Amino acid sequence: MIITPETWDKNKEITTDIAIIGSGCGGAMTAARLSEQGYSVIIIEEGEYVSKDDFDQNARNLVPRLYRQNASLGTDDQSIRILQGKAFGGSTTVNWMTSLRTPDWVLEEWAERFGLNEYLPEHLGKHFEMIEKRLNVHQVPDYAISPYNRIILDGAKMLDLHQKVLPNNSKDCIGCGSCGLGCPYDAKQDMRLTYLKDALENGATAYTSTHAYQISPESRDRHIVKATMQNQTIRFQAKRVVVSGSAIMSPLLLQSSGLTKGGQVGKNLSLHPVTAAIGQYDSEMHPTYGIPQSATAEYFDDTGYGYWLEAPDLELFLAGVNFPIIGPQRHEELKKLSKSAVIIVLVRDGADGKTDGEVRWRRGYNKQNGRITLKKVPSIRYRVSPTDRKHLMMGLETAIKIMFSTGAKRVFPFLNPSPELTDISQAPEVHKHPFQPNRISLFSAHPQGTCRMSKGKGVVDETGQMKHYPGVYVLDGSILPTAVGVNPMISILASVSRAIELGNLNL
Amino acid sequence: MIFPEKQNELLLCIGETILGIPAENLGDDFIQEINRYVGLLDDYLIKDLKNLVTMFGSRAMVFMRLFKFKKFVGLSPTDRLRYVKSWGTSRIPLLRTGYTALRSLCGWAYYSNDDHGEELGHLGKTIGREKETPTLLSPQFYPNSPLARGDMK
Repeated sequence: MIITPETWDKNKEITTDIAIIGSGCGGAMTAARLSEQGYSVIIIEEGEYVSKDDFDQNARNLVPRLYRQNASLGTDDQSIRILQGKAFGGSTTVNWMTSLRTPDWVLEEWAERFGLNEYLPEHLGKHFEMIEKRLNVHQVPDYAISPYNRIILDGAKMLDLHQKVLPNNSKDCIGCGSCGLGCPYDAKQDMRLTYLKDALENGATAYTSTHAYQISPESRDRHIVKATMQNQTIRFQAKRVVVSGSAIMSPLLLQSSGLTKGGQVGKNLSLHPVTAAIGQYDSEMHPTYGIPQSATAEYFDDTGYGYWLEAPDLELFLAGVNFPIIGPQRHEELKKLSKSAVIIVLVRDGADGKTDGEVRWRRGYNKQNGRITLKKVPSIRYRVSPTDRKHLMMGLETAIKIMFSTGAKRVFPFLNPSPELTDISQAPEVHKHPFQPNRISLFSAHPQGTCRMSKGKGVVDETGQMKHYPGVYVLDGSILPTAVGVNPMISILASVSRAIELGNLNL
Repeated sequence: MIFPEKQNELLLCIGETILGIPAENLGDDFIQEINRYVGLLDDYLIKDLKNLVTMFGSRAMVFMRLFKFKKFVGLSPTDRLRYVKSWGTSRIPLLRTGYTALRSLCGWAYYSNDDHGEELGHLGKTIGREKETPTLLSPQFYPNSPLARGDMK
């Protein structure tokens, strides 16, 4: 059953076996697994309930409804924009569908550094298979590779780089190019259409537009979650609480609730920082249409860190916001958008042994009617480490070379100011650009790691249970101990599935 | 409205300088969308953005960056662009943050309007027009697609 503000019966005291906060990958998987065992499950989702009928491809209508902070979420200095879904299904409702398994070397690193010997490839294999089957994960067929993805395959071959076609979670996708605004054709097999659907069919209840703001553990088998819907407080009493709000929101909720023993909640933020370049061609690319991210070229060094390239579809608003130059030339250049392609460079961050990032509350103030009041505001702090910087700029250089190799006439890297490059020989010049906050456009859609799973210093154990708070679990992207080095949807689903297999929430 | 009406000229000036689109073409929709979008943000961000716009347009800031005692709207187009760029490349991190925020806000306010897609060569929404737009159902754009040939559902 789905509860919305319109269908809520005003019941403010609700008892359940399991209260899950968040309906993205982690929450959906947990809800499906536990509800199929017969437990009563309640999902509390801050975002709206949305279905394909809502997805009218209109950015002004959909961005405020589907993205946290109207897609303007970012680090405190705005140097890294973080795109994060905020709707039923979480970020899976708005992602670009890339569905890759966690690389073996990453899982081996987790075993070595964090003692997670239960998460080796031989343990996760069956979870990957099960998830891929449920989400209809398959390789994008050759005929469906868009022109702006084809350049990655062709360019990487010319440059002798490792490249491959990518799998995604779609069914009968027609390549409309509006993945980022929700799939209007129900082709994307996101959580709403898969694990949340399973959970609801098993009897779970989802409270949408409901903001959970406090968890109070009273005993191992009794926890209170306070939430608001339509400015009214609802108290959920549950035997187990599962926090699945994402690597940004989960630590903030735990900190608000005072569940911070161990001092690790909110630390170790990984982002897979992203930069990009846009290239102009003589032929039509139609980057606002087509199946996104159907090809990649990648480079990872001996330690397993490095970069990979993808070509997203470009919602008009994303192009307009992020085109890297300003002034009279800008709009004229944007008029060539249909003959342009964008390549994004994603970095597996943490190459220097750790990431310098944290999510926490900070003191802020509000001024209203001439009165100043103190309040807590969320704070995201992140600095790109030296080796990660090197990988970003290496990736940017490669992206530019790929574009020129495949016929681009001009390339604009997302630097400030952006040089107008006209020849492949200019690609190395990007290394001379000062790497300072807001001198290079950086983005992220993959926050991870802020409630690290570890046998040593970490927030949760191998079953997802908080080390200092029995009965409170964290099961989402925040438990991934390091950046995974691939688009993380499948990694989150598999890790959560494995955590439940190992502990079953100790029920 | 989040921004007072007297700042409309300033907002249009900023948009014109950053986006390279004449203020008259930005129009009321640009101002309304800036106000609507900012109004949807959290209180503390609204406050920050209001302060940013006021500071950006002030004589004091223009003087500090260009040594000209004029408000931003009183500058020549060349000086306006020079001023905006000076924020973007400043040694002061806060100014670069301001630059990024203003560029994003202006970009959103104009290009989130579907009516402007055509100027960029965008062929419009696919819903109901799947065969006319570059989707896999269109033989024109994907001649090898079995979906376009009707071989598949």
